[in-house]
Amino acid sequence: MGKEAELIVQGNNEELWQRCCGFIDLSLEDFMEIQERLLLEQLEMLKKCKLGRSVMRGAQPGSMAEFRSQVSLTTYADYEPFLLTKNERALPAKPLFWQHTSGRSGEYSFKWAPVTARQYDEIRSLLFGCLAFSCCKEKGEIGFRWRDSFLYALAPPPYTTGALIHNAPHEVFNFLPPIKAAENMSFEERVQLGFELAVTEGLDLFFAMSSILVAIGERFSQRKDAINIRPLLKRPRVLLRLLKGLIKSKLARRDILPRDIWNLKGLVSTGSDGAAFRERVKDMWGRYPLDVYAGTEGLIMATQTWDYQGLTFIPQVNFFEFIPEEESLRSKADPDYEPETLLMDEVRAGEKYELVITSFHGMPFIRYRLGDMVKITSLRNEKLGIDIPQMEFYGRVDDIIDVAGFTRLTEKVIWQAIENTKIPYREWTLRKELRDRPVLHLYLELKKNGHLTPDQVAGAVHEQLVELDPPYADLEEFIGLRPLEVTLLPQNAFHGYMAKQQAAGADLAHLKPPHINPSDSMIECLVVGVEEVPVSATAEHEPEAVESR
Amino acid sequence: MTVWAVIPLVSFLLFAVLAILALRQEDRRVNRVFARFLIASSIWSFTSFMLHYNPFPRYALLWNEILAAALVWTVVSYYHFVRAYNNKRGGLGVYIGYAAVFTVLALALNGYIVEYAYVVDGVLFHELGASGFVLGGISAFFLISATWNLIRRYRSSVDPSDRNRTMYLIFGSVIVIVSSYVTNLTPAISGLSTDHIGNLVNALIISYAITRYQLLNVRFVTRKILAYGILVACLGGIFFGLGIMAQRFVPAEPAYLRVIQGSAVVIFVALVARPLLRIIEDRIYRTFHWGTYQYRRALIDFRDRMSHVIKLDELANEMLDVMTKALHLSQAKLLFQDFGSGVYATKFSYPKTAGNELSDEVKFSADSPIVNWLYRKGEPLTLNSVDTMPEFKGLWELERDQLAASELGLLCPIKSQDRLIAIIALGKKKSDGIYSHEDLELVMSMANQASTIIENAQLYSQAVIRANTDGLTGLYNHRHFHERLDHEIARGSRFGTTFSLIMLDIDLFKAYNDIHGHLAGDEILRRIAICIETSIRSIDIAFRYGGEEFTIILPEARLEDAYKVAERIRKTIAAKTSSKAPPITASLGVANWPIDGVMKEEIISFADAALYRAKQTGRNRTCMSSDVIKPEAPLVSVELEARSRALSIIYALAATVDAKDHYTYGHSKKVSDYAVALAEAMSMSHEKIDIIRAAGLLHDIGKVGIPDSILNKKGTLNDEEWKLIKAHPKLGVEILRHVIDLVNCLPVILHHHERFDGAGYPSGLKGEKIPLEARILAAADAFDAITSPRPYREQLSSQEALDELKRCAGTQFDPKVIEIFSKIISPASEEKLETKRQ
Repeated sequence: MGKEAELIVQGNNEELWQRCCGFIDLSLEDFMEIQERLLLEQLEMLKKCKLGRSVMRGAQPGSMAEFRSQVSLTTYADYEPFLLTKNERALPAKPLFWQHTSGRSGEYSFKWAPVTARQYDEIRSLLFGCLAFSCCKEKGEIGFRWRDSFLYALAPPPYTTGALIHNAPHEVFNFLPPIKAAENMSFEERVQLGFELAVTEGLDLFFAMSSILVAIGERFSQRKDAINIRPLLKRPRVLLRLLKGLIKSKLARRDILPRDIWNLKGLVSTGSDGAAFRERVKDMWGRYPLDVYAGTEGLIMATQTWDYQGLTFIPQVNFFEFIPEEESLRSKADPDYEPETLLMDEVRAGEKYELVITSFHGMPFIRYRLGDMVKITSLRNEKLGIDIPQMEFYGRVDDIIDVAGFTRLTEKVIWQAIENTKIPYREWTLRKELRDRPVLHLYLELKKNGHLTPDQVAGAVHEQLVELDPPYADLEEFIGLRPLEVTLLPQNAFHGYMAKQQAAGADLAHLKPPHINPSDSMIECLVVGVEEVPVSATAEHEPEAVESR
Repeated sequence: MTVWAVIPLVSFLLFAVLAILALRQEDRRVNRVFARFLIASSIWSFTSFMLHYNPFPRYALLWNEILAAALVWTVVSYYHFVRAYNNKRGGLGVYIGYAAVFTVLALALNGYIVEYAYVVDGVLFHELGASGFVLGGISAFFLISATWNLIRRYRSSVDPSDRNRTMYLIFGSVIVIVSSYVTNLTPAISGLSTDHIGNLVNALIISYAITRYQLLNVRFVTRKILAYGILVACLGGIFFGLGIMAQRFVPAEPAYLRVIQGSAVVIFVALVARPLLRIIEDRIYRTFHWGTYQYRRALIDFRDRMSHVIKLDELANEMLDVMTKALHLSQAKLLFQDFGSGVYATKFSYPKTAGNELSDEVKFSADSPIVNWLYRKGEPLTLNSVDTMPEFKGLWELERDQLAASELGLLCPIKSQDRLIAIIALGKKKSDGIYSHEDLELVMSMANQASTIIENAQLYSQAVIRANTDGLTGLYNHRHFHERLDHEIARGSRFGTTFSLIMLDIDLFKAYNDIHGHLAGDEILRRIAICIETSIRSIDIAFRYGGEEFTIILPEARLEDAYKVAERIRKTIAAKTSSKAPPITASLGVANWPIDGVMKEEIISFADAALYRAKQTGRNRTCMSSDVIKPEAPLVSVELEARSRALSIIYALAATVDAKDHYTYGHSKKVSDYAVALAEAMSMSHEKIDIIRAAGLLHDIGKVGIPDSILNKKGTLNDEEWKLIKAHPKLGVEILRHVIDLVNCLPVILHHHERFDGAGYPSGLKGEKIPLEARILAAADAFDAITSPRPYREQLSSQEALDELKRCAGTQFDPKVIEIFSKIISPASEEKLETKRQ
């Protein structure tokens, strides 16, 4: 039995809170002290292992400053020889288990990453911490109890979320369905069985991706088949629960929702689109989901607290560095450019940064670019008195678009889909926009002879994406999300943009907007500002502009 | 108004005040819930007051009915408060409780709870019937549940402050339970409302517990209450006993006698009170602490007399010993900061058993989160918290493992003048493993007292070290050498042990100083000190005896053993000398006590003689005292052998210089002769004359590195060429520095182109700072140069040359040297000189 489980059994809530959630009481100075000390410990481990020597290219940094000046930023390619082959002897510490990414991630089918025992200890504590934040109304309150019913709609191991749950202390909660029993079930079966059990045994805690929370809620409310009362007569508690739900929904004159049946103590979600689904989840489940910023490489990096506002960084899992947005864009345009990084005590509120992590406790990642852009919403949480900078996930930096945690679309797949439609187009660019749901917004400039409406184009591209990317198809099938929208750009919109860039003295690499994730100003220029620039100035670039990529 | 009404009235007023205070601090949930409990209690007291005061007789029944519901409300809200205190939501129990309140109220108002109630002459007559048991049952259930929740928290908590605070609440709960049933079960005080008194006491305790973070130790408070309670009972007993006895045995009819009797009893009681209180407190303390009573008493006694302790080891050993026993600990340690590394490491430990070595390794780096925490907070840290508190997330795994292996339970900082000067590390408690609040207070008070003593002891010890230490090398100094030697002789005389003494002298150190300056010489002394320290045993003690001489006392070492150590030192010094730097060697002499004499002077003299012999026999060697008594003959032959070897080298090198420059052929020899003549005229020692002779022969050896075209150039030299010419003294030193026999000549060669006014080269030395030998050589060199043919100028006569030298005396040359030189360079003398030279 883990330490947290012991504390729950003892009812020692104060110590449990300190252990799992106490980091929110740290001052920024304390936060940085922890970061520096654990970094130095990690460096000692890295210097002694093959992976460390290889990735640090022989550098032997002895301080935080030396580390940042001597060691280059890395990507997964730097770790590929060690991690894809699961070469445990090359690692700084022996892994407890291995896990990989959910969804497609561009160049690698799976990004494998180890988890060490000590790191897992920290993560386990943090999982309890996130649950505590989700269940509480004020500091120090532990809202969950021993053997509370816990429904989890997460990917199976070795996907990260599944691996974490798989290794969680099973005895603490009544997992729906029991973890061992669920190992051989499909995702659908597991969620189905989990819900059946939740109806009979009750539901206290729920952990899932935001998109799944919405999908399940919608499916729940759309069940039109009448409930067969007869078998339920033998189970009065179930009957009572259903009756209560029915009465509530009838009184509100709407379809039955999960919140009518269950009064959840805690609701935790991960996934990149948490903000988009937030209100819908609240509407369906009766409470906001606690958003946790987590990933395969960095594990749990930040979490919301009980005010459900910005996410608080966690000091003991990773060392954080921040690449300012301009530096990030510059390095994207020039892969040889080594961008400057800032530390946690140097970031500014309202700014966007690309996140760089160095994992602690014998994990392998060193100055690793996660590819995530985060926004620092404030330097402290005034309401709750948290002195650690607050963040929100802003988007991906690289050419990948994550949709609802289900799929990761690459430039290649999208381009292929557009091509497959046979629609005559000149150029395109696409980005994810967050409204009440995630929207894939395709900005397309048709050739002169193209006479199509945006809906027709959207329909055709959508069909192709369904064909090319099965997880994309699941979006509609499973959560009813059809995220693609199309805006047809005026003729010569791209040429106009390029001419404007040329006139501003941009070098060749910056003349064209990127295909994936263009900035607001780029889109504004494409949609509105084309008339200002004479088209003839850039007409000769047309063929290369499209085909050179 | 009767006393029965006064008690609830006072309770009501106090509850109302407390409720207002609690409502002002409702930012915490526990405060809000506590405020509700106070409001319920005040309503309960108010209704009780109204019932007993009974201003409107016909409403007595109504007040009693409300009272019944208010009682349940109070108990339920107390249960609710305990839940909140334990960071738990109300839960089902609270819902049921509040439902019960409304049910009781409804039933009471409908006449199902109180059968009748009326007040006659201030005395309440009422009948609850069977429903009274229901009320009692409900109240008992919530009170016992609340108490049980508190006990569970107490048992699971490892934080001494939290346990102390919880103990207060348990204490309050018990008071409520007891007081609630006292009135009902004691007919004599029926109607006295002890339940209100109990509830009030509980509310005061809770207020104190939740508003004050650092509470007084509950055991201390309990002991005090108990002691004063017993004292009052005893004094009352004595008072009444004496009164009765006085009445029975000394009938005192007159009133004044009664007054005297009464006064005597009062005085007696007053006199007895103080000692009696002491006895009672002592007995209670003894009862509270059972087995550790004696040790605790010893610890407190030690704390009281700590201020008289000056020495650190005395303080540490006694403090750790007595703490370990008094607190029933497995171990105790005292950690001090190492001023070099900043690490806090164990300096004193108790108990000192063989199995204790591993845990003796307890140390904390200066940047350890634990050290930071102890410094910042200045209060004890229980090791259980390290695993829990976020401040310690930065601990390394290795540090955590070491901490776990150390079996420690508590760390207590010792601070002085805003510095963390030491850490008391205490092991786990042998009994329940958890330190009580009283233990923490005791340890803290010890730490506070120890801080001044440690600070003073450290200052004293630093002063002693400074007084006994040589500032340059960090070794002990000459004064301490004599103290230690006396100490060793005394020890040897007492226990019949032996010891040896090594004397070490750096070879040719003066020459090194002259060539490289005193700063470089100081650096060599430091390096030699390090070499000595790294080569000797841990029990040996090294000293700087003075100048370039060092001594080492080797306790319990025989002569042969000491010789081995001396050789190790010598080899280390030779090995540590870089090939690029000038070679540094040392000669050593070894003597033994008592073989070489029993007096201090005798052993020093023998060691010195052995050192002298090592010098005489060629340096860079070790001689034992036994070598000194050998016949002189071999010494002479060795010395002669050494000298002839040196001379052959010198002549070979001089020939090299002369071969290089035909114009200066024979110049070296002539300069040497002039210089030797000058030295002899100045009555210099033989050693100095030998040095001057050799230096004269070799003074221009650096010219072997200068191109012939420059040496033989007829016209004036340009800047670059002058630069090369001016480099020749340094070059000469570079060439010769590896020849150990010529090391003494090096300063003379280096500085023979210095000018008396400081305008010379290479170092620009001035006046007396130029070695005398170099000043002599400069005059001799100039004289021969002027009187010899050169490609770049005409040859002058001896007299013209002397005139030139005199002209430049005081600017280029030392006037005293020129004065003597002019005397010896008379034509007759020069002739004699020439003959001698040939």
